[in-house]
Amino acid sequence: MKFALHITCAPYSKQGNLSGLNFAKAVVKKGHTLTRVFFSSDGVHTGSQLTVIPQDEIDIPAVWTELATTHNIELILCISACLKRGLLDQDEATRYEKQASNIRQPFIISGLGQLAEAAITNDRLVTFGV
Amino acid sequence: MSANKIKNLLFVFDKPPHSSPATKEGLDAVLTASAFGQNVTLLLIGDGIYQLLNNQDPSHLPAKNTASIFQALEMYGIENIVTPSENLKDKGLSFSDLSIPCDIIDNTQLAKLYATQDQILSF
Repeated sequence: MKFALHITCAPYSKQGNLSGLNFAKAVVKKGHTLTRVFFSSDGVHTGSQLTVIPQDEIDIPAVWTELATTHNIELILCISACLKRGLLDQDEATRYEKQASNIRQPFIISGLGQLAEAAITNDRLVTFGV
Repeated sequence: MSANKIKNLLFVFDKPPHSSPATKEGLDAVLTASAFGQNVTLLLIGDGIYQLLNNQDPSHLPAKNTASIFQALEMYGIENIVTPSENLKDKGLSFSDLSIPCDIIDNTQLAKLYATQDQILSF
C-alpha cells in the first residue's frame, strides 16, 4: 500500500511529530511504500539544519533524514509555513534578501499542491498533529 | 486505487475561529485540493461550526480574517459544506445563525460521508 504522511506539529513540542516518525518506520518495516511526508504549520521546524540535540535525547530531524534517505522518501516543507517561521532555503533567502538559509538536506520547500497531490496519488494519507 | 480517478477528499475543521493557524492552513489546503479538480467536502464539527457564525467581526485581530474566506468558498467551487444537526443543537445554533448556506446532516449521513471518502484531512 502507498502511504503519505502529513505532519503539522513541531518536534519536541508535541508527541505527534515523533509518533509520525514511528509510524513512518512501521510503514516501511511492514513492506509498504512511504512516498512523501508533507510538513506544514509548526511541523516545518523538523526541516531546520540548526537544531542541536542533547546527546542523550533522540535527534528527531536526523532520524527523519536517515529514514528518508534510506527509503527514498520525499520530505517536503510547506513554503508559506516556512517563510513565516524563518525556514529558508538558499533560493528563498536570496529572494527575500535574508543573510542565511537553514534547510536541512534532503528536505525541500514546496507548495500545498504537494499535499493535494499526496492525497490524490496515495492509498492512505495519515495526519499527525497533536 | 487509480491515480486518475477523482478522489473524495473530506476536510474536517473542528477548531473555533481565530484560535489557531490551522484554520487558515486548512482553508489553503481546501482551495488547493479544489484547484486540483477533486471532489472536496468541508465538514464543520464540534467548535468548528463557530467558523460560520454570522456577524463575527475579527477585523480588530492581528490575523487574517478567515471568516471572509469561508464566504468566498462557493466562488472557488467548494459547494459541499456540511455540519451535523446534532452539533448545531449542542451549540445552541440554528441555520439562521450561519453566514453561508450549509447542508445540515444527521448522524447516519455523517457516517456515510466518512465511509465514502478516499482521504480525510483534519485541521
